[in-house]
Amino acid sequence: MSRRVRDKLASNRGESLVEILVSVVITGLAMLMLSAVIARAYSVDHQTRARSEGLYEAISRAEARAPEEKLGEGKLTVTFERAGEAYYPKVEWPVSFYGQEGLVYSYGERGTLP
Amino acid sequence: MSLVQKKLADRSGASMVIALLLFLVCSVVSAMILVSIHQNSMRMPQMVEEQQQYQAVSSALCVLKEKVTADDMALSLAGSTTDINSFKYVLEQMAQEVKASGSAQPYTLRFSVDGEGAQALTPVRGELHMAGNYDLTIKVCNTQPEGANALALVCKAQVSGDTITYSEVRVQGAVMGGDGA
Repeated sequence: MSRRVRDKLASNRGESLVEILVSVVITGLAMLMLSAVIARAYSVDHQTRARSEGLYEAISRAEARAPEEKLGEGKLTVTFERAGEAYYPKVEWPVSFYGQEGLVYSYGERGTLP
Repeated sequence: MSLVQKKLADRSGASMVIALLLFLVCSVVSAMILVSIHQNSMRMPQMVEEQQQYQAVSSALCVLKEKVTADDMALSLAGSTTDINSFKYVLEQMAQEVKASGSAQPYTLRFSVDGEGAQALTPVRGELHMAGNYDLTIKVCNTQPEGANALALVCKAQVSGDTITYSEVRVQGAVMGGDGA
């Protein structure tokens, strides 16, 4: 350790009360900001984890053909084109819509899936 | 004497400088944490969107599979179906083309859904091919982004006299545009 550093550490020279108070306030603000951000990070991480678990469950249910919530019924319309021109009017099939966690999928009448 | 040397020689306090340095460090760490949180939280909606696009294709394929393997989907090469708004009619027309010329021109399929809860199902399109041996390949993909999540329903034809049935059906990945899956 150099002599100057040792001198500095050994120095008895103080600071004004205002300087100390301002330093304490700045340090407090810094700590408050950091702790608030860390708390928010934990909260967001928890929410994201819960949402991703829900999404994976919804995907599993969709793949396993075990839907939890029926959203409604409707129809699937298929139109046919050949060489860029409409060929037949259209084919309509009744379908049911299911979904979970923002994921929507449909089944036909028999509910079979590929 | 350099600035560092002057500072070291200075006998006044350094608490303000240290507090400001600590504030700077905390600010940088906080900013890094916030960026990380933002990136993680943005990944979730993107994942849902990608899965939704896949489910739109999978759903269309599911219904097609159900129709192709339905009990009443025995195609007649004589053309027994008169309802032109039926899938069976389209397939019988193709089968007759194959019988007459050995091949059939493919169709482009456009799928749209109506009903409560259907809004999230993004548009999909498909291609319907019938091979010379009546084997059926139906490819389905997203229209936005074009060609994404392409899947094919490959149906092996069983020909018995003038009747064609599809019992052996499998799903596989596909590339849009070609004849095969």
